[in-house]
Amino acid sequence: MVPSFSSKGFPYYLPDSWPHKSELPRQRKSVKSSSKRKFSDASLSLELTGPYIEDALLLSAYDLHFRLLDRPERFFGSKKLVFIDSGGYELAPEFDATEPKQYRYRPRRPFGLSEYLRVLDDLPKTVPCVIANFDWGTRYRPVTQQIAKARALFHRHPSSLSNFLIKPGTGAFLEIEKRVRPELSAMRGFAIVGVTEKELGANLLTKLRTLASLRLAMDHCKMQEVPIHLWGGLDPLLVPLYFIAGAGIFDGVSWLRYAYHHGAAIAWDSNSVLKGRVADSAMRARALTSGENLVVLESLATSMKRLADNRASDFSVFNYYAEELEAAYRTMVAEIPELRSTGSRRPVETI
Amino acid sequence: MMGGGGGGGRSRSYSQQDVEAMRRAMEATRQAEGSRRLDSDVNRVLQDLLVDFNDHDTEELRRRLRSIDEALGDDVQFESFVLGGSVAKHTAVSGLSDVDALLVFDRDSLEGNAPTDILNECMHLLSERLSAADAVATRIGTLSVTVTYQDGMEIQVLPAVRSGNEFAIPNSTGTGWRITDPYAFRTRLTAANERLNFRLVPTIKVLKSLLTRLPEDQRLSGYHQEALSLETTRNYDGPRTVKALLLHVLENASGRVLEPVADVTGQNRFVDADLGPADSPTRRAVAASLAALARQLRSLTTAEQWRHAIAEE
Repeated sequence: MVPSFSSKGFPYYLPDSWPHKSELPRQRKSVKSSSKRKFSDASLSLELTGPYIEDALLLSAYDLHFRLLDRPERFFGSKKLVFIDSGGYELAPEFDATEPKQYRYRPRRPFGLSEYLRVLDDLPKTVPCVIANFDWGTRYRPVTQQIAKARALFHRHPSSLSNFLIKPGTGAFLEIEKRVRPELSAMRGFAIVGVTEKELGANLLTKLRTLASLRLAMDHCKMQEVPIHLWGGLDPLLVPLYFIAGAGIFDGVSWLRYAYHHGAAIAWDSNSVLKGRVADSAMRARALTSGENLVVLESLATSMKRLADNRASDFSVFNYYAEELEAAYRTMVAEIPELRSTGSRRPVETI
Repeated sequence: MMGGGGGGGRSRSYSQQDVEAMRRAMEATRQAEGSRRLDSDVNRVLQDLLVDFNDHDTEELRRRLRSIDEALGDDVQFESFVLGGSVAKHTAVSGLSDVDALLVFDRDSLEGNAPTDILNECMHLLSERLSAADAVATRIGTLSVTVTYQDGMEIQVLPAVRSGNEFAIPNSTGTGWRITDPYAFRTRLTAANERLNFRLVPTIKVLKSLLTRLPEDQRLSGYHQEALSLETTRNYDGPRTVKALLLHVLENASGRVLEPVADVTGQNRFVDADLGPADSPTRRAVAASLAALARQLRSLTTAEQWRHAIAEE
């Protein structure tokens, strides 16, 4: 479970005590002068929760480049892994599948491969990083070309773990049999293979089937040890299903956009009602909800590890909706032949 | 509150009080999640224990019924065995529950024999013909002949006459017959079990194991425990897990046990006449014991403690 921080869709604010020049990386020509600098609200969330995240977090190179987060490197040191997204999420105008889409979003420019590479070059060398390929730049290319470009990028950063995000190429959704399976052997050198939730399919069952197909294909290609990173899929009810289907790493910003209440994501204000916190200030509500969400994610990770240990035979490991999840699992097994053939295999690794 | 990307320019930050409040909220959530996890851990432990409770040697039971059949031979002209009681209700606990084996007779073949006549004949034949190496004791009561085996299994042999869904079994004096409808209770139990996601029957089994810890004079019959479980969960709307149901049954049974529970099968007026009238000293003692057990279980903080509490000899 990798909590993500992204400026996308969040407002900006002026810091009280700007600047902290001495602690910032070197200035870039492409960013505004410090006197006018605003940070993303995501920076506030990082400031608040960063010290309490133990395993891993995910930041976007886009946010690092435009300095939308206030000295994020302060929170790198205590993490087992720091995931760096190449900025594809921030560059795309649309949002992830589980996100509300009421925002009118326009990304900042310019941000391309060269900017991404500079961000990677500036990462602290002592931090255990997982870096993604620059998927935005190859999003319409055939998978073979995506792999080639990714290899070149990862080659420049051999000390970081490689996280190859597959894009559909042409079309809106991944076609595992037709476009991905033939190229899998070329992906064996990558530490992680990723897919975005929204590109798995048009509906939940199709998404699960696509994921299971990828997992099965990877297993057949001797890639059992390579976990699948599901980008943008951090909904507490959906994560267990994606986990069963074969994903092992989950990130997303839903934990910053929703409140996790009794195992389901609900609107913040609704959560305030249910928790008896109607009178709390917006900042207080946000602080409480963010912290609670992190704990729920930790707990969910524990549940999934236990589910893997019992090989999906006992859903009581989930603190909420165990019966519903088990029913969904039965439907999955009935509808997705790949799950039957893998015997609901479990991922090799979870975070 | 977070709408509108790119707008703003407000100056704001979290106060130290906000940070402290978040810490407290995280701790509270951690405790709540831990409590839920304990629930699921305990339910898994109970599930493990239920595997042992269900470890019936059905083949051995068949073999013993065959040997009883052979021992009775042509001297007792019954038509068939019908297994009743907890075995039929699927609430039997291996090593705890006895087996009610009804010898079903054709009414015409009884030729006016009273139940005691049949029981005496059965007692005579079984004690004489069953292998002493296998069946270690045979005793007769007003309702049945009980055969006890070396491994602790007890088979109660009851003469009965079938009439549709009903059976006539010996009355309390053994001189005549009393109509009973075993399906009346079983049907209700099955419906309740289905409503509670098939967790009521496992709960009853765990309850039966747990209540062996009560003092001898406070022990409840298996049927009484089943009836209490059924009554106390009639309007239950909580989590459909064995742990939650068990605690609910114990806590509510401690009050319900003070009053006699009617026997819907018609076999007796009450299922718990042995405890005396309402609010009798025995009933009050049982009520206190059940409440104490519930309190003890509620205070347990690990799944292992639950395992010891339930499986304790």
